[in-house]
This record gives sequence, C-alpha cells and structure tokens, in this order.
Amino acid sequence: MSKIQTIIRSLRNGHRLVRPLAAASVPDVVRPMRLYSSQGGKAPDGIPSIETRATGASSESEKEDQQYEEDVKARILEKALGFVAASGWSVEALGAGAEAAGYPGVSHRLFPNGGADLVHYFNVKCNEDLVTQMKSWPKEDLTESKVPTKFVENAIVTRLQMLEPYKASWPKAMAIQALPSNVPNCLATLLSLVDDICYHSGDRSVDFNWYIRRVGLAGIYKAAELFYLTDSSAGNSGTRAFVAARIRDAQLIQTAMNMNPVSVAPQTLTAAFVTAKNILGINTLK
Amino acid sequence: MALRRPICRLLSSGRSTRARQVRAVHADTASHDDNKTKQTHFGFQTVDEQEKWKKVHEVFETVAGKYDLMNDAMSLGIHRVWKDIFMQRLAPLHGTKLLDVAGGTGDITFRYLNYLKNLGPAPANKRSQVTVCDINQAMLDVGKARAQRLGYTAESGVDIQWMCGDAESLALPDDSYSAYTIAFGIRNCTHVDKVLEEAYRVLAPGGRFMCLEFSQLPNQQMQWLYDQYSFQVIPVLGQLLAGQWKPYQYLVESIRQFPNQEKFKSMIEEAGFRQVTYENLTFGVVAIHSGFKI
Repeated sequence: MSKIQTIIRSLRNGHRLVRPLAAASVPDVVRPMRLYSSQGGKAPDGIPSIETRATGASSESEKEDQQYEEDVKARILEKALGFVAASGWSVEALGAGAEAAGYPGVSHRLFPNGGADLVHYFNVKCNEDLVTQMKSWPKEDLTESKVPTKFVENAIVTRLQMLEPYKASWPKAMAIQALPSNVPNCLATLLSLVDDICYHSGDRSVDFNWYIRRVGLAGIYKAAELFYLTDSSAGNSGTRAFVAARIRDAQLIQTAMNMNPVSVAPQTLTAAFVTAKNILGINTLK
Repeated sequence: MALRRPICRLLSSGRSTRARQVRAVHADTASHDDNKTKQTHFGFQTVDEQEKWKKVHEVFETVAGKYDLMNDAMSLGIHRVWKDIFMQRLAPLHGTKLLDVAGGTGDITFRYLNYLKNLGPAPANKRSQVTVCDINQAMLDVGKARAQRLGYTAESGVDIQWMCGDAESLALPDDSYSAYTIAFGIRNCTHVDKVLEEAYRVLAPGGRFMCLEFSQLPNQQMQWLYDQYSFQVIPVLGQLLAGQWKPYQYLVESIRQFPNQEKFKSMIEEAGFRQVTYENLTFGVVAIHSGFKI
C-alpha cells in the first residue's frame, strides 16, 4: 500500500514514471527537466541532474545556474500566455512570448514540447494560485462523518474560473494534454491539484480513504471541467450546481460503502429476492 | 586502371584494426604534446595547424563539384533526412536571423527557406534573413548557382547573403543573429573551441546554436559495422564517382577524430551555452547538438 502512495506522490512531484513513446527511439536525449514551479520545497530528488558531477561550492553555483534558466523559461512562458487568445496553445504563442520577453522567436525551442509545455506551466501556476487562496479560506468543522462540501465546491469552482480568459481555446489545451506523451505531466498536475484541495480541506487520513478521496475528486474535477466549457450561465452558476450535485453523489456512494454489512443484510436480501422474482416473471406487484 | 587501387585497398583487410590503433595512440598523444602545440590532426595524420587549414581547404576545393552527389551516394540519401530533421528541430519562425556556417552548397539554407515558406506568409513587420558563410569560395559558388536554379531570390521574402569567411573569426558584429547552424562543418575546423566562442559572440541573447555532425555509435557491434563501411566502402565510392581517394579517406578519418556526443556537449557548455542537449540520429552516426545563449 505504501508503494502505491509513493508512486502517487512521485507523480505529483512531476516525476515521469511513464516514459513517453516519443522518447523511446532516442534514449540518449537528455530530457530537459520540467520544473516550472517556483516552490523550492518541491524540488525533485529522484531526477538525475547535472549536479551529480559536481560537489561542494560548484554544485551551489550550478543550482544558481539552473534557477536562472528556470527563471528565463518562466518569464517567456508568462509572456506567452498573453498570446494564447490570438495564437492558441502553440509554438507561435511561445515565439511571440519569447519576443515579448526580449529574446528572439527561435528560443521557443527551449520548450521542446511546444504547446504542451505552455499548458503544463499554466496548470502548475493555477494550482499554486489556488493553494495561496485556499490557505486564507476558513476551515470547516471536520468530524468523522462530515465532508467539507462547501470548501471543496468553492475550490473546484475557483480553479475552473481561472480558465475563464482561455475558455475559447481550452478544449484544444485538453486535447493536447490527452496526447500520450503529455499524459504523465497532465496526471501529475491533476493529482497535485486534488491533493492540495484534500489537504487544505482538512483531510489527514492515512487509510484507504486517502486514495478514494483523491481519485473521486479528480473524477469530479474533470467532469466539471467538461461541463464548464459549455456552461454559458451567468457567473457560472450552472457549473457550481453541477459540482454540488457531483459532490452529493460522491457522498451517497461513500455512505453506501460505509454501511455495516450486517445491518443492511435484510435490505440486500429483499432486493435480491425481488430481482429474482422479476427475472422469473412471478412478480405480483404489477 | 582507376579501379585497381581501390580494389587493392579493399582487399587489404586489417585496415580498421590499424585505424583503431591509431585512434588510441592519437588520444594519448593529444594530451601529452601540449608543449609542442601548433600540432593538430588531419584525419589520422598529425600535421601543423597551418597545414591542416590548407589541406582542408584543398579537400573541399577538389570535391565541391561532386559534393552533393557524393553525399547522396555515401549516405544512401539519408543525409537529406538528417538535414530535414535538423531543420525541424531548429523550427525557425518568421523574423529569424540565421547564420549558416560551413553551409556552402546551401543544403541547410534551402531547407530553412522552405520551412519559412511552409509557415505561411510572413507578417509585414518581420523579415527573415539568412547569411551563408563558408571558408571556401568554390563551395559557395556551387550554392549560389543552386540558389539561382531553384529560384531562391530576395523576392521570396527572405534576404540571402553569401559570405566567404572563417568560422574561427567571423567578420560579424556581436549579438547580431538569432540562430547559428553548422552542419557537417565543425569537424573540419582546426580549433573547435574557437568556433564555439565565435558562435556565442555573434548570437543575440536567447539565440540558439545548433550543430549537425557525425558522431560515435554507443553500440560496439554497430560501430564495427559502421567502421567497415566507412573504411572499406566510402573511399572506393570516392574514387569511382568523384575520381578522388584522399578526400574521402580524410572524411572518414576526421569523423573518428571528432569528440563523442558527451564530450562535444561539454565543450559547448564550456563556451557558455545553456540548456545544451543532443539527439542521436541513425543510432548515433550523426548527432544534433543544441544550446542556447541565455
């Protein structure tokens, strides 16, 4: 069980468990590390980096170099977001962003995955924004049975509203994320999102519920994302209602799963009996 | 008559063993004869630096006319694919200012022009530009003639300049280009580090250095096969198709002398480039190195 947890954690940290098909033919390519997060604490520890060949003071300066490179990349990506409305999640947007940041257009190849890197950056950025916002929200009382529905609903809707400026081109972004080579990054950001929401809503579970909550929440988020794309109601009230309904569903499922098997045995037996009667065509309750 | 010599060579097996010995010996001496300096390699020979320059010059003067034919024959046409991939990796946009060093016959330049054409019409305020630089006027003449024949003129929307110059000391201002390519050229330069320094100097911040060059195969068996092909077949082809043995002997030897992928990568990093990566093509027969000046 702890192994699965480690795997999910590592995915969350952006480790690439699944090597994309594209890389299989060129195993010697040193893949640029994709870490656009500004949070120092999230630095990956499993990824082999250039630092391995240096020690002491020189590793310090290499860390600085790496930070500098990440800063340049982040600056270009930030500017590129401004061109998404015009050029989509594309190489053109990256090129225009590079020019806006004072570099020539060809430096868009700092991001070998083109639009996918831009989408990834945007996701990571939004997740970080959401975490800062969530920290200031009031915590709901969390007793054993109560689910912080309002908090989770707010978190999902807030996160979806961050897509507002890019709503027209977001279907394209979702398509880019669904490409096999981009799936690991996409899953990593999604898991980091639901993990953050669970954590800040007060989830401290260490049992199997840990997984159920996160997977369930991920499902709700992705469904809501699809709903949101075609939601034209004022203030996205439709999306809010949709999210609330899905959370209710999830609660129902959880209630059903938490039921004591012995206490529900008569109901289960009755249901089985009725079903059998239905099948045999001897149901008298017509 | 012309066939006799190639066939004799073909029969003299054990040649590649010698080649390997020479390679090993050379690697040894290179580190020791620092005090003698001014010595460098020309294929497997050790020559004066001045002499290497002259010899390389002669080689390309003699092969210029048959250069493209020989490339097709020796690589079975794969060099076109390599160069296409190279241009895909560069992925220029409108407004790119490219310096194509050692690009005499225009292979990279024409691909660049095509790539831009396929991007669609350029915005009014962005004009792309390419400077073809080669040390050898004979190669440039071939390129110019091809450009004329293929209809690549300034009216096509991209400015083309042809420049005869040395990659080790470019007569160009600092920070003036956004991309620098060198395909199958850096191997022939006497001081690779100087070439890299010059590339770093002429590139604007954010500019990209890209190099397409023969490299080494990580797999021993494949390398053996490749060695056989190089030493036994290529000079023969040279003799048969171009009537020249020596230049093609030099070609395969110089490939063996060039540093491998990792070594060359660290050389690029030493010149100041960042985000240096490389990609092997055809099992490592050639490699594309890329770096950014940021």
